[in-house]
Amino acid sequence: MDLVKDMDYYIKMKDVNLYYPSTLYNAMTLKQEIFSRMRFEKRKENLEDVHALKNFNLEIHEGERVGIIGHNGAGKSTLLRALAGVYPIKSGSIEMSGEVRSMFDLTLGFDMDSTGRDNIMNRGLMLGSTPSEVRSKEQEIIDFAELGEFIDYPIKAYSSGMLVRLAFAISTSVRGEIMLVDEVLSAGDANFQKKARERMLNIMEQAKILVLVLHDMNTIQAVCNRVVLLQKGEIVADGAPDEIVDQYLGKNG
Amino acid sequence: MKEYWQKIYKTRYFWSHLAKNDLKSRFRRSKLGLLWTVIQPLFLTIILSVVFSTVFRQPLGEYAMYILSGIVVWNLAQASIVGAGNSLFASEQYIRQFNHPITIYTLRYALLSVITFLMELLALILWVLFFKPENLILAFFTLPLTVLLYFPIVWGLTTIAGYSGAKYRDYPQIMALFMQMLYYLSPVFFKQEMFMSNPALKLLFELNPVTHLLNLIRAPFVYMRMPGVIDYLFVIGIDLLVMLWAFYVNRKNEKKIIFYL
Repeated sequence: MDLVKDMDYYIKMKDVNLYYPSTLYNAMTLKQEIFSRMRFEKRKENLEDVHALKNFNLEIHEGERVGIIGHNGAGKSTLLRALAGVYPIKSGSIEMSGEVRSMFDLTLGFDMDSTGRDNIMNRGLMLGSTPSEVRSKEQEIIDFAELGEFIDYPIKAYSSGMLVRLAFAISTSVRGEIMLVDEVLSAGDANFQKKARERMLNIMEQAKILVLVLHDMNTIQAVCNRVVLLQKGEIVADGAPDEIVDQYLGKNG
Repeated sequence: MKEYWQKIYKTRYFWSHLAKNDLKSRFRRSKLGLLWTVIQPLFLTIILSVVFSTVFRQPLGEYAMYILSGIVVWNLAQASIVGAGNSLFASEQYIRQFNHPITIYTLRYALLSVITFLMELLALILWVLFFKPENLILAFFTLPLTVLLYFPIVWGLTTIAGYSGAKYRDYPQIMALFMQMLYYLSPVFFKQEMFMSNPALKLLFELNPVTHLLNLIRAPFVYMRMPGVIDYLFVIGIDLLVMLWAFYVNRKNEKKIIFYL
């Protein structure tokens, strides 16, 4: 591989179609599967009854901070998960250049019986760091989460506020070139919120590309320089934040 | 293919840490901790061997080693086939967030199974040390290769079980039934001679993979013999078969398994 000095970061989605099942319980039992095979019946897996992204075309380039807005069920979270590679796409293509970091669910993967310190290691490794990287960030995380001596207590002894602060501090200690963020700005009490927001904005500044799903229009307008409005799995508007947010709110009545 | 292995290698800190945590949490809640894993098969062996040496008139010491070796290997098979049905559910929260290879989660479970197996093996080693210490030299000599041959089977079966368990809700029940059947065709505590009375039974016994898997442990530990060439060839065959099968199942289901969790 030759070294490229200025790497070009981008996301290119072309004619993407994504389906998912509305219900899990059309899954068969092993008994049914065996009997239907014995009768040479070919059954079809019914995994595609919701058409979540429809002929989706979207290009995002370096420096863009894209806010995704729309009503519940419009496909915002699905879009992020498709970009993160968690959901498979049925057709079309997604090309990405740059290291992807996703922030979907902050308290994920916490082991309640372990200490805060252990959990920092857990989550750090989960997010793709090496053990020495995590150790070097440990103190900074503890300080930011304002945990002090509690860091060596099992986290089941934490208050919910402490837990959220710890989760937020860990998740935001890992940086990526392409950040996919889903509704994570509301952490802790008012004091911490302010701190959290600053840290979040700082990370977003550093990311080459940001894709943000949020219901809070003020933050969207403050952070993003481009907004995409989704409706039923399709892009209905794409452009400057103020304009699109007005259109969205106007529709709301 | 090569890329896939690289991805598994790249996430090594993550899955090895998960496996380490599984081990820790398995033993955290009891004071006896690790010791319990050793004691459990040991006690079971004492009970069984007292009962069976009376019923079948077997000399107690050697028969106990026979049973213990059987139990230890059987527990590993049980974990890889029945218990592993839960392996993808246990990692659901990670599967929902990252597109790491799914097989790292079955690898996590397979590591746990094999380490538990090695700890249970300690009970057998203690027993052999007590009754036939001279057997241990050959036993330790053959053990590394045995574990090396077991591992792909355990990982492969865990992967197949993980996907099946996620797709079919009745998987554990049906497999428990299947294992019950296999149990009575396997020389776990029945002696080999008991299968020889009937030619059909003998054939089933000889075709049963468990027979050969077990011989890799049993021959050196209990009889101070090298396992037979047939046993090794059989086990290598199972290795290839299970890996190919697991590879196929993984390729077919890796992308869409998220919809079943």
